[in-house]
Amino acid sequence: MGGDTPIWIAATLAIAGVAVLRLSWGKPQRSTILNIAGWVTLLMALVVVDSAAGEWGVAIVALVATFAACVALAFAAAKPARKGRAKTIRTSHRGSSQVAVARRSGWVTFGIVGPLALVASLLLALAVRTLILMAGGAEADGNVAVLAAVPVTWPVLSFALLMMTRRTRQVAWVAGIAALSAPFLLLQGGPA
Amino acid sequence: MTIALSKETVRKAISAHSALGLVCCALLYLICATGTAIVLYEEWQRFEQHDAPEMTAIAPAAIQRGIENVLATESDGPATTHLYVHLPTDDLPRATITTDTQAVHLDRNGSIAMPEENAWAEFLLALHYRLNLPAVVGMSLVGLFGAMLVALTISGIAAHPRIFRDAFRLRARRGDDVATLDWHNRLAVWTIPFVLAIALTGTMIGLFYISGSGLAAAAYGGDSEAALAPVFGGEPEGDASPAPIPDVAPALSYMEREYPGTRPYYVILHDPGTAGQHMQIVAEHPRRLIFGEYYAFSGDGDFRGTAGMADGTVGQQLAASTYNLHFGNYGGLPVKIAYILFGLAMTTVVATGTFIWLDKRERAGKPSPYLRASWWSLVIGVPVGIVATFVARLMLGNEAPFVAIFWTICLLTVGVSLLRCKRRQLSLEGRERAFSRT
Repeated sequence: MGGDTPIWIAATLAIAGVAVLRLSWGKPQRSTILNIAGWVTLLMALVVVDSAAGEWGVAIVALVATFAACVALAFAAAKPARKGRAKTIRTSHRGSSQVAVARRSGWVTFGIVGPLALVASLLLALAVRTLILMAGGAEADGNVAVLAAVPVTWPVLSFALLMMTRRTRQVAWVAGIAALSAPFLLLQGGPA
Repeated sequence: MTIALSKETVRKAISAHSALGLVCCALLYLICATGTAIVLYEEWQRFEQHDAPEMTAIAPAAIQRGIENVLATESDGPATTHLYVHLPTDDLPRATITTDTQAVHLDRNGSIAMPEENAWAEFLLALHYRLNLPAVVGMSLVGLFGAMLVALTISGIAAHPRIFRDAFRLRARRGDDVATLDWHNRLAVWTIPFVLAIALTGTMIGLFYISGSGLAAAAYGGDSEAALAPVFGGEPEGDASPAPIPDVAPALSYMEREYPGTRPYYVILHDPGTAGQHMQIVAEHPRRLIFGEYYAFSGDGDFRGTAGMADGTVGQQLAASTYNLHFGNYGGLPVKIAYILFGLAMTTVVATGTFIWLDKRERAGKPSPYLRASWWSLVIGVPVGIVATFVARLMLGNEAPFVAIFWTICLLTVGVSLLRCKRRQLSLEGRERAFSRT
């Protein structure tokens, strides 16, 4: 049981952190002190569990915090709601369609955001691998960096491209990343 | 707390979020729903074949007898290249041997008890992993959708300027568009860490055929095994000349003596019955996210070393942690229950996202009754299809055509729903015409 104590402390801190945030965000006025207290408590939970149980403990405590938030949501869902006219401006369809200034082909957008951005992300990931190996990193780290970088870079790049209103800018970003990363292809092939 | 993004940025983010969501919603919903169900992979297997022998542990000598018994049944056919022994674990307390051509359960003494029959669990796993398609296409497709889930999460955060301030606001009892919107936003916000962990690890696994092949092509002359060897360890050179099959008992005794803190759960024999044969024992390390460590042994049972999953480079440990983090099998039943709850939340977020888009169109005076009917039918059809295949497993047995049943039910649900919608639309138009004449 002694070995479990830090995990229980961290789990309690995680629940307390969520509770403090619930209290803070439920107030009519912002409370900076309560906000900071909530986030710091959550951070403390992660620090405590990381020092005692590493990444496994962090994963467990993250689940505890999420579960605590879901319990708070369940209470919110059970509360009777006033049925007035809700402000939905930030989600209105009109607002989002106003962005489409110029008519653009969906297929071209799909091609740039999908396959082309994926190729650019893969090239970037291979460039990261080369940099790791050139810096004296292990071959395993370089190879895993490729496998791990694509799932991060591609969605981020896709989102960034979709936020761009001009086609030329989209193409320039994809081509730029690919062009900067491509030379590193020549430096692949095992550790430096 | 409010993230200060300009109105223009928020509108662009909503637009990007909608576009990504619409392209991905159907298959993403399927992947989330099946992923939630497959958290109980081991439990489903036990349910499917509840009469298979179960045990908390099995003696090394019994395992050896089991291996010899299984190989004896294959002496007339082509030799298996690999033989896997699943040792009893808390989640799946069974001893099962799998070769290239068969899978059988053992009893405590190492006798062959019965063939393994877990076709439904395997179907569900294949549906989640590769949409019942060939591995290269299916896994890549699932990986692509996982990446888009990451993009949806990022765009969703950017599209929601009061993300934290509203984090506990859930007006569920309104029962209108606002309630749908609140369910979508609140569940999405609180499951961000979970969704990112699931989506990133799933994408890493699913995109292997793309990123791994790219790596292999760029640095290893197209040899994917060579690209993975620095991470998971390589296979020694084979020697096909005949040899007595290896004895796993000394290797298991070595593990018990030298690594008492670990729990072996797989024994893998490579090229058994050849001079080049060797063994690996995969052992679980308690309170770690890694799936385990590979302990290598020669065919004679001499210890050769570990692959480095537990204490190797950061990259190796990260790679070894993706599977457990994705499938939620690192903390027993409580973690599995949490994964099911949050998986259901993810599935709900995907389902409500499309309803929000349909509601917006309706508010803008552009209702899409056929699209709405299709989406409703898919949202209902996928779980109904899964339940139908399960019923088929219970009634028709292990050989039931699960893939055909599932996809037929999904298509039928959509088809029937569209027909009903068409009939409703025609009746509405008829009433409107009659009303305008009077």
